[in-house]
Amino acid sequence: MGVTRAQVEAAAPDQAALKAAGGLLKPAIWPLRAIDAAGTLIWGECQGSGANPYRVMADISDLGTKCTCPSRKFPCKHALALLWMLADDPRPFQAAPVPEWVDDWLSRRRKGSAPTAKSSAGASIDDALTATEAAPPDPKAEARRAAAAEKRSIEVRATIRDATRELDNWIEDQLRTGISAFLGDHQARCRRIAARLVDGKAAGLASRIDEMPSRLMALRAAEQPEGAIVELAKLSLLVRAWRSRPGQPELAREVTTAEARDALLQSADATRVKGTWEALGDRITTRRDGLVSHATWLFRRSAGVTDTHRFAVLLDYYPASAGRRSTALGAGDQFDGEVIFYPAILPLRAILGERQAVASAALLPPEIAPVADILAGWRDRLSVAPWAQEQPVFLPSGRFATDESGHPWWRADSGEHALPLAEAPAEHLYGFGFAALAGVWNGWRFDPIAGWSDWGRVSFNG
Amino acid sequence: MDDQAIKTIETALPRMRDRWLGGGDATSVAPPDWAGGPMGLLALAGQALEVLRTPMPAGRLTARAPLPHLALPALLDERRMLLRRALTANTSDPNGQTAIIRLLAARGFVAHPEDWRPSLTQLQDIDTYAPWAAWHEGSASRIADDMPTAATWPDWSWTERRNALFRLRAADPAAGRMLLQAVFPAEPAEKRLTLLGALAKGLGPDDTPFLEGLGADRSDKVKQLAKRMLARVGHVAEPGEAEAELADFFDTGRKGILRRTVTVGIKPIKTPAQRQRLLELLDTTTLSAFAAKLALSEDDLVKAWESSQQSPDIEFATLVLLTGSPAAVDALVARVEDDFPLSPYMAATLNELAPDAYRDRLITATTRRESDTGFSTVLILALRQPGAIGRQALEQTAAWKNLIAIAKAADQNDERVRNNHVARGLAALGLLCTSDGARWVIETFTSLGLSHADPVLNVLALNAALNERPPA
Repeated sequence: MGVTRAQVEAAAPDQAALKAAGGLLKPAIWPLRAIDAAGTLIWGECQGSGANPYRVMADISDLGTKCTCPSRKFPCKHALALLWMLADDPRPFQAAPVPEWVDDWLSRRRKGSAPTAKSSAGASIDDALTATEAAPPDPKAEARRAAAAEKRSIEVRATIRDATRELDNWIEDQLRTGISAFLGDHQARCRRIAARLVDGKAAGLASRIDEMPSRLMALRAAEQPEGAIVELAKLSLLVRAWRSRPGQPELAREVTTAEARDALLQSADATRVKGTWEALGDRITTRRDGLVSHATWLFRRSAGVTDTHRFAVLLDYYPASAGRRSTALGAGDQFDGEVIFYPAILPLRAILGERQAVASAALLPPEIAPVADILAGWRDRLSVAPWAQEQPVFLPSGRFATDESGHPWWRADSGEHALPLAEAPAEHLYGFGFAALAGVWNGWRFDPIAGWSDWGRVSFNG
Repeated sequence: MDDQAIKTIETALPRMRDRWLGGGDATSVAPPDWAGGPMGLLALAGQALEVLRTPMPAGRLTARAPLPHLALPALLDERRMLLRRALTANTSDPNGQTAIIRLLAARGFVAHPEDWRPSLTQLQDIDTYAPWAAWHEGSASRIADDMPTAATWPDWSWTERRNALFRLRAADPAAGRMLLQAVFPAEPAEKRLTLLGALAKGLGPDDTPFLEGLGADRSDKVKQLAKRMLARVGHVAEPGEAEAELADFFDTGRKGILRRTVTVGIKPIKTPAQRQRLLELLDTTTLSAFAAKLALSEDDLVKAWESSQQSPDIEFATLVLLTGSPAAVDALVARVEDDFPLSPYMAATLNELAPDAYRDRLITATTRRESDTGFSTVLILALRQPGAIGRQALEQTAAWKNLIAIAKAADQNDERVRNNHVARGLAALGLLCTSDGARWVIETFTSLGLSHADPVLNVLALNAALNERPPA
């Protein structure tokens, strides 16, 4: 069973989608293209603008498609491109067993729900392929654009500076009127100042404040006053640091927004780290602003135990209304390739570069250096970025336990270390012995992401 | 920073926090060398609180015992995805999940604890998982062939006690009875009733004295069960008023050319109250007493029973299975193989009460007679012995032929109904078929146009990937 170009044309919602699909026919941005044994299903991964590639799948029998991109067009350009590539040359599609994410889609889709072949306003692959002649570069226009961009940048910084002054005043108000009062009304207060910061172009700060109430509510009542003081102090420190170095990428990212993927790829400051990487797992949270924050944590198997670039996090945001997305890297997946870090003193956030899946992944636990202080990495991060909110941590062998109040903890087998857990694990996990655990420490609680146990590898939050 | 400086900060921080908690300036309670106005103090205090915080548990930490490994190996990693897919399709149906887990056990594997997260009741339902049930109940793990004694009985969890007693009874009926006798009086009525059920395995004349002693038990249900068990070992109770009343519900006659075949048929029932009374009487008598009142032997009564196609059939089968002699039970199974009406309710009764030795015969009989495309009757009987129906047996059934006919039907208007039928039938076949049979079903349906990846094939795919265990 195959697909023809005519079928792809018929499936396209409009000419623009087909043209956009034409721009995606580059093998380099498709790290995966596969087909099932019966030749009726195809799937692939297409590197879009997010940290994670989009997952695209299609049922050839009725041209039903699914893609994890946020496009409202159906089929989207990625699905059209996948079908188009199959129509042109099926050979790069590797025969493979149907992965869980495709199976999951199949189990939920209604057969025949794909749009039937229709006239899509004469969408034509030939037209889509007709490249628009690029206009010759105009140095004067380029200079004008650069000057305008510089002017805009100065104006934006001034606007942000005003917004941060307003934030300072707000923080002082909370101290003056009392943290107790703040804790009784933090949702409304945070929402108001966050809205002001959005107006003031400080989206990063706004988002951090918008999520502050949920972070505080995750603490026990007795911890919340200290939690509030620490949260406000981090904000104050971040704003001070940004004012002194507004052009510093790490600070700009925290206060406004992250650099675009393309900008990062072209940045000389971005650190590129090659090696064998393993996906620890995902942490997915729905934010108050309706966006889903999807973090995929990685660690480098080929790193030394104290390597600075041992961890990386791929961060994507998408509307909650788009439903849960699967990412290109399942927990435990390994690849040889490049991870490109956003510039920072202790880099963590990253995007994927070129990669090649490792066929037989090692299941052994990572090597962990014995340390006197298991939170040394967290304290190191605080010393250079005191506004930091979390730090990935490897824990040595241990198991879950409960304290006398019934709260869940991790306890090292050596008895020397113990950390409180963010949530009670599933009951059976209290019976597991972990040779190693990886997770995120937020200053208060440890949130496990992956564990290597006497029952094999365990994925949390997944 | 020296210890004195840290001590100064640690002393100042709670005061600063208290000052900010109520609202106000914390300068006067801050460490003397801290400066920078309210925001500066806030920044320093926040950083200090964060860096100096060391998590300390409230009291002693208590860890659970390691989750015990089970007697069978966990499913291989490459097969675990198949199991997860099969279980996902039955997320809202714990019985469906348990059936899949039984199939797994029949093929010599157990589920990884990450793939199947059962309730305690589900765990207690499958012997293989008894160590996990005990672990969930907080008991120490035990080795598989460990046995309690009367002295250690209180140290074992309920699930462990129950399973160990049933195991012991199956292996050594006398030892099982002696243990039961010793621990019986101390258990509450509900648990006594369950434990007494252990005697059903290997029930024989040696059990008579113990069972007779239970005639004075505090629980009516225990007394009733003991009475029925006594009936099974040949303890014939004289028919009384109840049996006379019961016999009045029936007509006995003869049929056939030579009128040699005895029949026992139910008289028309006029009111719901009458029906209720009939069921009560069937529920409390014994087969031997009832047969004696009709002047028949137990097995002759079973052979003479004329199906009413209604609920008395179920109650009668229950009576036979709970109180009948081996010959009567054998006669009942022969009737099931031949003409006894089969329904899911009847199958459930047979599944619950028929001796395991008859399971193969019952599965074969119900398979042969199955016409429902969801294989609902045979599925109930096969729950405890899944994965045993081969291609040859399956091909002959009306259910299979109907299922194929539905799958081939081209009427698009009925597509949803057709898909539901096919999905239900394939899910059932995933549990029923042998490994080879499952592969053949997959091939058959994919040749009819179903995708290999279609989730309706998930249970079949798991089955096909797990070969039968070699005979022990």
